[in-house]
Amino acid sequence: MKKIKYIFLCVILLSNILYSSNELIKPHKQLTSSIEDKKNFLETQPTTGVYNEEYLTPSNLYIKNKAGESAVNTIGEHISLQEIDALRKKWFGVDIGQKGDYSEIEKEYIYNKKIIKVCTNPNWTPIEFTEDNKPQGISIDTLGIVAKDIHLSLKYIKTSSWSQSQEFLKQKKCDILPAAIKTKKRDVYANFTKPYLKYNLAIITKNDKPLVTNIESIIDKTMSRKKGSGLITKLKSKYPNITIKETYGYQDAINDVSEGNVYFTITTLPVFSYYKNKSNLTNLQVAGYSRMKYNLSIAVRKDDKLLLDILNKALNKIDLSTQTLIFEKWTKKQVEFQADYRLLWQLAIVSLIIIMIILFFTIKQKRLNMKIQQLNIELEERVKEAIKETQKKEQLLRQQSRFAQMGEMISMIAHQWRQPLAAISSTSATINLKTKLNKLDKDTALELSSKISSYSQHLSSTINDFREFFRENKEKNETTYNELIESVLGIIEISIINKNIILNKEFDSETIFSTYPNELKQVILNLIKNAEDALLDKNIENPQITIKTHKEVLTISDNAGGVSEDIIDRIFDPYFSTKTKKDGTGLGLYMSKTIIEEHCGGSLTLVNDQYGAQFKIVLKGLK
Amino acid sequence: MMELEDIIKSTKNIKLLYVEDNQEARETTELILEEFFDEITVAVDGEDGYTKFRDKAFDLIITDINMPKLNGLDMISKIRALDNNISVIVLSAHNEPEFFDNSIQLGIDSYLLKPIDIDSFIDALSKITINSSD
Repeated sequence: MKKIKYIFLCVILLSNILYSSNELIKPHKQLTSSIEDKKNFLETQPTTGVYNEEYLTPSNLYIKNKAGESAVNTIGEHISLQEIDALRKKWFGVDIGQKGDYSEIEKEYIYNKKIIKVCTNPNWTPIEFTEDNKPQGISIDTLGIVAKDIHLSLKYIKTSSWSQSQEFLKQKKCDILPAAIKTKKRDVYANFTKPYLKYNLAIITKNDKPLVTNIESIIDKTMSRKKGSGLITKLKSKYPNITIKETYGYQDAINDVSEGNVYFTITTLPVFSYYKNKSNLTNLQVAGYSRMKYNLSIAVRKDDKLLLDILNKALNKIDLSTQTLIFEKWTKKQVEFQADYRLLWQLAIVSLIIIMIILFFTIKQKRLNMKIQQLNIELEERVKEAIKETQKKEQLLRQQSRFAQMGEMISMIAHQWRQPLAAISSTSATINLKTKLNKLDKDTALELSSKISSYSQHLSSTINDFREFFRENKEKNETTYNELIESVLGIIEISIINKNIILNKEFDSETIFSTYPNELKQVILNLIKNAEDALLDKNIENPQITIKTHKEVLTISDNAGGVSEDIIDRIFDPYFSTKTKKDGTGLGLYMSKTIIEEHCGGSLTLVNDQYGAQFKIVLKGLK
Repeated sequence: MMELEDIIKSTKNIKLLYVEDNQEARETTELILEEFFDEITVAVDGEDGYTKFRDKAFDLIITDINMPKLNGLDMISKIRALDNNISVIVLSAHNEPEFFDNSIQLGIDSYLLKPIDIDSFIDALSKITINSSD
């Protein structure tokens, strides 16, 4: 039952965990799918233009009909631009921007331009970076929207570094850089759109360092920054004494802070968030913001002024919500998503640990239960064995007691028989003698034979007395102390007298008891024999046994000096004997006490009086 | 072995002290003793026996051992102090070697077990009469 309970518990726990993890995964799925959609969209955008179907794209159509280029141009001389635009719209369903967004010259430029060649920063996550050979990031998404609006295809020119990208723009190998800060140096070869991304530069330190209000307060400390960053130039011109460790990438710059190689780094919040989460650098904090702003613009090759205007117009059209969406896609959501993912893992690990703990305790409990069960079985067996042993002992005890009684009986019979046997023997010897002397007359013979007959009768009656005495009679009968004692003395008195012990009888009880006479007789016999043994053992002069009855009390006392006080408490214990003779089984008094107290409902006690031991039987008489 | 009649002839004049505490035993044994002895004095215990021996002259004592007041062996021991040569036959129900040893040390003539075996008794008597006739 317990096992099932635990399994049930585990299942509930697991299902809870699975449910919660699903809940966690859900937004992630939605997010990834939306990201995937956008990615697909962005990916298809540069290669296939506005339409997915290759041949319908204006750019491709144009390429395919390259031979007709001059023809269109020639026609263009006769038809106004509005007319051409209308025609295009009619045939290709394409309209550039919203009505009146772009001037005719600009539209014409766009139709002719077809492709914008783009160079990117391959290593500026999440603003702009290359992954799986595809440029991605906030700037790329923004550029995607722009390109969609103006129906221009984007062609990404692969570069190995940001420096190379800048170089390519200089050499006009590409038209634009999607995200660049306007600097004097770059002004030489590029025009800049108005900034579409504005970031405060965050000061990043370890989280055990104090917060900073401005960069000046920590300008004496070492900082790290990605090599080739425009910021380095800017900082060095502003703070000539600043020490900057130039690193290979942003990750290294941030790692240096985390590892304590430098005191701080300056970076945009999205970049910091991205790398912090990517490498799980929990010991970092945003200690403050510098007053410097990172204003990202699209850098356009210096000679293409028209493109700059078009891009500015397109950027203007991007509303705040779209900007936020893009930003969140690459920063906040990513952060949240990662945090959730970690939370999921933590939850899973915690759950696993809990399950393992539960399992551990379940197994432990089970083992303990098994052990207890086994112990119980063992205990039961031991108890059974102990009971069996006790029963065996009890049986043995009874047997021994019975043997002892039989021994006593034989000894008593011997005493009873000795005299009549001797008499028979003597009588027969007399007959023998008289016959030899020819003196046996008829009368003498008859007299002697009748004597022998009477002695034999005595022997026979003795046997009957003993048989009656030791017969097991489980029936209750009404009797008195006098009856019981007389019956006992009938078989024992001769042996006592033979041993020269004086027997005092002081009978003063007429109380009638309803009890087991034979058992009681055996107790009385046993107590008298006990007194006799003590007297003979100690070789007492003028040995005496006194039997007294008064109402419900019977005492049997001797003048053998009593039982020594250090063993008087053990005198009724089984197998306890002080007798030096071989026939002391140590059971007599034990059996006597059992009979009086358990069978007859009375009490048997021993005290020492001034002469010796005094056994006292108290029974409940009938009123 | 002498003829029974001859033995009785020689024992008739012997003065006997018979000591026995048990009445029944006394009566049955006396039936036998009467055939051999004309003069029998009976005592009922050791003390009685000693007193009677002190007051009167006897030729033979037949005694039991286990008796109240003074047992047979102690009685003999006391009598020996008065007469070292008196013949004694112990007639006892006790067959413990201890009693037997003590009896020999007291210089008794015969040790017989109860109940009396008539031939052993006659044998014991014949030895005594031979000794006394020497």
